Amino acid sequence: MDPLAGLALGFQHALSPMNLLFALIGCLVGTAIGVLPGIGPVGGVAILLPVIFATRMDPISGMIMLAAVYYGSQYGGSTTSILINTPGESSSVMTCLDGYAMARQGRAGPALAMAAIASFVAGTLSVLGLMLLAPPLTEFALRFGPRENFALMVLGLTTLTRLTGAPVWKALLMAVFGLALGTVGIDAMSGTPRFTFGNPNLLNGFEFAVVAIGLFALAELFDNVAAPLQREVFETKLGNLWPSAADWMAVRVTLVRASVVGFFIGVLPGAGATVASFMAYAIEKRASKHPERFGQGAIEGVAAPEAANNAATGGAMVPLLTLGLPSSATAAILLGAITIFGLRPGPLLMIEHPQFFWAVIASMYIGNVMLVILNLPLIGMWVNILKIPYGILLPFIVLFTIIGTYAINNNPFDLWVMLAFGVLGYVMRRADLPAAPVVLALVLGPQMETNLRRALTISRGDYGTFVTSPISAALLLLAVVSLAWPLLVRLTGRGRPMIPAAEEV
Amino acid sequence: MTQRLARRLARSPLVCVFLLLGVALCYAATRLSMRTLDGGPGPGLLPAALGALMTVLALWVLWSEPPRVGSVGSVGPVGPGGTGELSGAPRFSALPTRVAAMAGGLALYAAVLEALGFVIATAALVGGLLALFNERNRGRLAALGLAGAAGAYWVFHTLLRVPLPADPAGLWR
Repeated sequence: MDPLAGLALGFQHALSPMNLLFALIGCLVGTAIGVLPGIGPVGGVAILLPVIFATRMDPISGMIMLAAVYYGSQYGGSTTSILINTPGESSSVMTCLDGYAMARQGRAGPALAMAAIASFVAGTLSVLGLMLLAPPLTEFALRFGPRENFALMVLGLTTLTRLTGAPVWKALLMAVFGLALGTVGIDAMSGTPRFTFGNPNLLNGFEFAVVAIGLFALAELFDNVAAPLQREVFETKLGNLWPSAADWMAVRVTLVRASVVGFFIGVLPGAGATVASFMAYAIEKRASKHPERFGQGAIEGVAAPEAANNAATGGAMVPLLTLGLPSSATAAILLGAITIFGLRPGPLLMIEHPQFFWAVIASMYIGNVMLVILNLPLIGMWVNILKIPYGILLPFIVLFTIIGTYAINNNPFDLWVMLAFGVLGYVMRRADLPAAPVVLALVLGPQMETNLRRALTISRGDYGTFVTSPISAALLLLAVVSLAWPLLVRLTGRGRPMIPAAEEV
Repeated sequence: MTQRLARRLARSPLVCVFLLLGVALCYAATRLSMRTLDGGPGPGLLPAALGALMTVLALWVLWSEPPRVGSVGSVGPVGPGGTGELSGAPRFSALPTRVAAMAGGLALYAAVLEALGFVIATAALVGGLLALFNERNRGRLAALGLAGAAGAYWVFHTLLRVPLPADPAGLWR
């Protein structure tokens, strides 16, 4: 199916009143998740996924809503960055620098509006990129067999460990831990129970959504209650929202440049919104004739990271929808969602379920329009939500984590698992151990093992099969290079850290 | 050299846990078959490899990385007027009381949820957490907890048909 015909089919589904409603709800919930401190996109999507599944929602509607939550949360994170100098999630860190400075200068309105407009422009451009890149990539991925799929997953994991911002060996240790978690339960190929210790609750293994809620949402809440709960909202008038003509002139190239940078970084397995926002900011500062204005309230300093983090969200959909390879923890949850909805992620998704594939893409166009139309007038509402004392909000966020966890299997055992991973996630943060590789490896692990064993069975136990296929060999070589890269940079002495010590989601 | 390793083991307890987990995984994997009847890889192959890799990586982390106590995921205030740091979380010295209380509350909740039903158990948990984090009137906070639990039950269970444990006394259906 050619992209235009596919998009037309997608719009047919996405424009149905029910799907429009779900996109709207997803945008609002996602923005709220981004605005509220203590619940990031990973936790938010993980909590909503079981609820959506329990309501027996149609897969297209469910995925439209989850995708809307994903990009809505990227938008919402900018509000807290600008108004209280605290990013809702790590991809909005760079927005704080100039956004908060603008708010202090009495220009919070234009900063918030520019964040919304940049998100809209980038979101739309990235969907265009996704539409153009997805069909050829799908065609290429159709050549993949078990060994190529295994090599691709190895590459996905190694690049993620390289880009989490944490030391690479620690990230790799966490990825191995996630893969080990994925081996718990009945072995899909032989039917042998593994590491269940006689507990029937473990026969199906660890639910990735429960682990994600624990490691991200609950651990974040523990982190927040360990710190002072008072947050100061910057009091400013939001009367004049529209950016000035000078602002528009300043960002006209920035918006396109940051969108392109963000999109291609989002496509890379392992990179994502946070890395994209940092790189876009750095590039914009370097390209500026007045770099000294950055950090002092330059509107390009708001537009660049916001455009980049939203474009990266669209970019992340490329490997997710075409290769079945998530490039971030949130994308891993979305991959799990596709499986839960009974669909097979990977290149065949576009061929077997074109209405699903294209409806999700079309809904992203619609969602971006919704976000900009809704959120400019609703900025006041988000500010008011921020003024609710965190001590009141927090128990209700805990309540949502409980409902999301319980809804998966209707089993209190999952609450124990969530709690255990919440405490583990909290301790991991203090030991500088990133959580994203754990979730990504847990989602990819079972598929990776199946592909590994299938490839070895086909080759009669010959491990050389992974290097005799040119695609598989190239992917594994890239994986080795991605791991060895820091060492090479250190040896050449030219490395400078560009990536923040904040976890990519 | 041994002293250095011992010092690092003591200062990175979580990495030590992963080290032990790796060894345990290797041992447990040996009890699973490594080959299937047709000569293909068995269910123990990957766990054994992962156990070995986890052990090596944990040792490498202990050996090569100077122990750090910063936070990864927490992003505190940045920029003008902020701390300028990405990691703003407290140090890993002792589990803060509020975290322990919240974890304890959640453990108790998981234990009594099915016996008490969603609304009563959740009202107690949310009310308790509200009282823990706020200095306001306890009666109002308890009422807010009950309203939140009942409201959530109505929205998720009654409206969205998400299965939640019913009240055994039949007060909430």
